[in-house]
Amino acid sequence: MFSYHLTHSLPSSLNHVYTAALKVATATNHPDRPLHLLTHAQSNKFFNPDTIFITSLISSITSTSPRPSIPLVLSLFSLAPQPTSHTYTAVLAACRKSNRPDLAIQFLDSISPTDKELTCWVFNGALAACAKSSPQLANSVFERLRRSSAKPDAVSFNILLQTSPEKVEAVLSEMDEARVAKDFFTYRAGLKNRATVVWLVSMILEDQSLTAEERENLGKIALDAVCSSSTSSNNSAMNQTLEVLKMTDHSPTHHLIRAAGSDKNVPLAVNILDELRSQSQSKSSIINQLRHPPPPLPLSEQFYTSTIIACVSNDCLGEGIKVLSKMRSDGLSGSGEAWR
Amino acid sequence: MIAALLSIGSSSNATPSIKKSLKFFNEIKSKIGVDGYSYTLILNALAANALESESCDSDFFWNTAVSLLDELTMADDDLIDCR
Repeated sequence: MFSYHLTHSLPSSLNHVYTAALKVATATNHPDRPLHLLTHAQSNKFFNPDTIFITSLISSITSTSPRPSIPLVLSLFSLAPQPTSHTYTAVLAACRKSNRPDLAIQFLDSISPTDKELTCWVFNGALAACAKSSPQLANSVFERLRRSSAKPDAVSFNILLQTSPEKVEAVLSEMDEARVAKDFFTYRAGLKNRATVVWLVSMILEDQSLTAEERENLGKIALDAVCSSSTSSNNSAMNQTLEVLKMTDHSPTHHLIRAAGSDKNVPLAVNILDELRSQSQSKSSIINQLRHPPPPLPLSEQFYTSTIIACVSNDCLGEGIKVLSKMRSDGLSGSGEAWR
Repeated sequence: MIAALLSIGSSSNATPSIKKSLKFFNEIKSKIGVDGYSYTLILNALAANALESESCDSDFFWNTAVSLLDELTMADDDLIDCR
C-alpha cells in the first residue's frame, strides 16, 4: 500500500512525532485533544512514552483545560521514566491552574530532597501554585527553598513579593544580599505596597537595567497607587505625587489633578499643574531624558481645565483665576469649558 | 531538503503556507519517501501555523494532524505486514 520506506517506528522517533502533535493540540486549544493523542499513541504498537512526551502531555492538558484533573496528571506523571525538573514543574503548573496548593505541597514533599532535578524552578512552580490562595503555604515553600541547595532567583523573590507586599523592604534587601538582580516584575509586585511607593520610585529611577518603556509603565503603576491611596490632603501624598510625576507621562496626571480636586486638595492640584508646566517648558524632565529621541511634550489645555474645575468646585475662585491667567500666558486662549 | 521545504510552513503566519508545505510533504512522500523526522517537521509546522492563525481554523489544523498520525499508524501496520 505504501511505496515509501519508514524509519519512524523507532520509539524515540515516535515520541518526537507525538510530541509535535501535542503542540498542535495545545495550539488549537481544546481540552479533549491531548488525551485523544495519548489514546492514539497507545494504539501504536511501537510507542513507548518517554519523559519529554509525558511532560509535554501534562503541559498540554494544563494549557487546554480550564481546571486540569490532578489525579489524571499524577497518573500520567507516574508514566515518566525519568522525571526532570520540567516534568515536576509541569505537574505543579497543573496544581496552580486547578487552584490546589495543598496537592502542590504534597507533590513537592514526594520529591526527594537529594534529587538533582529539584531545582529553583521546581520550587518556583510550587510557590506559584500557592501564591494566589495560600500566601502562608507560599511562605513555607520559600523557607524550604532558602534552606535547600537550590537558591531562590528573581522569580522566587517576585512571587514572594506578590504574596507579601508588606515585606517589600526586607525582600529587596535579601535580594541585594543574595546578589539577585531586581527586574520589572520585582518593582511591579513591590508597588502594591502603597506605603513604600516613594522609596521604590527612587530605586526605579536609579535602576539602569530597566528599559525606558518598563520605567514608564512602572511610573503609571506608581501613579495609580498614589491616586487610589490619596484619601486625605497631606504633604506625603503631594511628595509622592511629585516623585511619580518625574517618571511618567502627562496622561495619568490629568486624572491625578481631578483626584486632587475630588479630595478638596486645591494646593496639590495647582502644584501638579506647575510641575507639569515646568517640565513642559524646560523639556528636561526625567521622562524626556529616558526617551530616545526625546519627543516634545506640549501641555494640553485639558490640564488647565481640570485644575480650574478643581479650584472652582472647591470654592477657590481666586486660585482658578490665577490658573486661567497662567493658561493664557502659556499661549492658550481657553475653550468654552475653561471659561464656564 | 525536506527540512528546507517544510520550514516554509513554519516561517509565515498565512494558512496557505502550511498548505504549500503539506503539498510538498505529499509530493516528497510519493516520490522519495518520508520518515518519522519528516512527520515531526510537518507537525511542528502545523503547530506554528495554528498558533498564529484565527481560532476558526483550529479544526483544520487538528484534523490534519490526526490524519497524519493515522497515516503513520497505518504505515506502521503495513510495515508489520511486510515483515
